[in-house]
Amino acid sequence: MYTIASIAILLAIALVVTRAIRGPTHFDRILAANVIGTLAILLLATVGFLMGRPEWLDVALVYGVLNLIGTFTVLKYFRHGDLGHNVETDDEAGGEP
Amino acid sequence: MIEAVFAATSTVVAAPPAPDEAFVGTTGFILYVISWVAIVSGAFFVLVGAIGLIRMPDVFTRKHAASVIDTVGAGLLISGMMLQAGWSIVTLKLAFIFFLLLMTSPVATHALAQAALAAGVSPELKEDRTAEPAEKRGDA
Repeated sequence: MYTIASIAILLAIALVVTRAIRGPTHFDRILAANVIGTLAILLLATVGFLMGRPEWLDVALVYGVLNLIGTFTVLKYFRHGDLGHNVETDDEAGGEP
Repeated sequence: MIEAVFAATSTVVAAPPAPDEAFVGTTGFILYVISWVAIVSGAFFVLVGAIGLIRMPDVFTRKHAASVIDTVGAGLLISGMMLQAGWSIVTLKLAFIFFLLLMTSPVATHALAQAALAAGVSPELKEDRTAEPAEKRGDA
């Protein structure tokens, strides 16, 4: 059963990687990266149970937090072109909400 | 004393998932079958979400396909693994992971949709689909 789940998750990661390569816009690639992160969490959990070593769940937990932060970082970089951008002080024109 | 503490913590931390022999009796068999079905159908929904990510026409509908992986796929897989692990620290960690996914993936999806709209990516409407064939949209 864990073997089935692991193989399905690996296939899903392969499909999502093709979307990341083909994606017409940046946002398709960011979405694909986010989904790959989620699938990596699930793969860590299932392979941990498959090997009888569920301590890998700690790694999966940290990976989930880093996945969110990485997505926001890349989104902010594409939006403002600068990771240190401060919306309140740096946008004299007001900008979009 | 230190050895006793180390042994206690190591057994707590490194508690393996319950082997199949732990599912005894009729209730155990039913729990085993339920966890089997949950994990296999979770794998199915993960695959469905990935196929949707390939086949959906634009980035907003692809987010919809990705949310299938985040909710149904992860939920079924993690609940099946929780049933397999029994009452242990592993179940708590799995619950934390599912809570984290439930909290973070809508936030990331919302931010992604807002950033895509602000960057000028417009959602594909029904008129666009009927006006031009699939080959002209850049992806089949």
